[in-house]
Amino acid sequence: MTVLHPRKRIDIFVEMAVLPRVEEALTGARVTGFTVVPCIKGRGWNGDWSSDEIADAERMVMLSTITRAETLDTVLESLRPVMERWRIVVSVADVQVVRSDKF
Amino acid sequence: MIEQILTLAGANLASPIVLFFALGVAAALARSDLTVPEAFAKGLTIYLMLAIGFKGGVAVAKNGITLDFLTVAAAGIVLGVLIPAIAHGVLTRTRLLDPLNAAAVAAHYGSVSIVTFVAGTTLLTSLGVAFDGYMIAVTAIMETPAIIVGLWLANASLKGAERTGFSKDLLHEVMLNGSVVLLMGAFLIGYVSGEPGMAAIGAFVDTPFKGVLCLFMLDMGLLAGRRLVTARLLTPGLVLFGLVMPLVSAVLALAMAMALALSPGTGTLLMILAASASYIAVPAAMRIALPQANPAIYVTLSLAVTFPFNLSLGLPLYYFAASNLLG
Repeated sequence: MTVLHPRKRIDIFVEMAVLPRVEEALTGARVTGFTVVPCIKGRGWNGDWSSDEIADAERMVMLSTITRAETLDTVLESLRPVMERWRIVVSVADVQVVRSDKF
Repeated sequence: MIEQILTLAGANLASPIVLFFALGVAAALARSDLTVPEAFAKGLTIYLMLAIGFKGGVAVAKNGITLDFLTVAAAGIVLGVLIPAIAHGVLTRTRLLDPLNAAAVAAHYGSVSIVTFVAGTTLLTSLGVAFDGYMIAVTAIMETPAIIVGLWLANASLKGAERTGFSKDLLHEVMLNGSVVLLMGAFLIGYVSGEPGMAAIGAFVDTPFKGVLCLFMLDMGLLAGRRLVTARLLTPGLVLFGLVMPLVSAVLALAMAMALALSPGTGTLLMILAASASYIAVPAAMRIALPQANPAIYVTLSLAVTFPFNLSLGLPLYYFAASNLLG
């Protein structure tokens, strides 16, 4: 039977314009891997938004990264200044990974 | 005189470019599922920037870089400083917006819309009116000053820690945004390659231009229409501002064009640039530097109110004024 290892997955919804700030914060917390995926449409503080905005900067993306429980606080603290200044949505979920050496 | 304006406006409103924009708006308002695929729309933008930049560069190569270019560029910078200051004053004194959102809106109105400029050059070309190719470079130059003024105005209403500076990455975003890089790059390529370059790719940058612009305008209409559907924050006062501010800016530009003795074509383009409001470069800068300001106000006002006004009625009006008072 495959052994699974508990980890924390952090999902961050952010506009393209602010994404470099999030990446810097993750780098500051020594996060080595993440994935960014585009979002299609949604509704939030500023009403409806859609991926077909004219400017790239307005497009919404989701950045996802998986980390160990003991480094979660470091990552969230590093993200705090970004969260305080820009409107981003951060959520944390318990996940299990197959290859523990990768995360 | 009225008859002349109506004839010009009628011809402009019946042009495929304006009608495709109207189709996009109508489809969005009717909540049709018509969409222009994102990657395709991006391709259209790339083509338009390449073509307009290249043609401008070729035109400048014919006459070389003149003192006129430098004086018009300087006039453009002055307009980029004056217009946001006026817009901010109007919006705050009439209490239409709080100082922070007023600063963000002011930055948009001081900067320029490249698409409005492209529509203006197309109108002038169809009327057989000559204009200086260096106006492409002036367009790129006029994008930035208003952003600096807007941030300065915003800082005046913010407390210490909330204040924002013109950081390195903000500068990067503004100076190296895709539209500006391609527009200026194509302009330089056109300038270097000159007439032989035009002979080589003229069929590509010239013949399909209007058709591609129609497709792009359809997409712009859809985007503007969708903004209107969700425009809950636009008060009648703000809409009035979005219609009157371009006229005020155009009058300022006309005064400068008269002082500089510009030709009717070049003067019209300076008026168009002054009257247009940004919805690509400035929103990106505001997202980074002024996240407290609300894009549902500044993008909607610029894209869904001022852009359609300029496209339909503003362009012929500016040309009419310039053709009667310049040259």
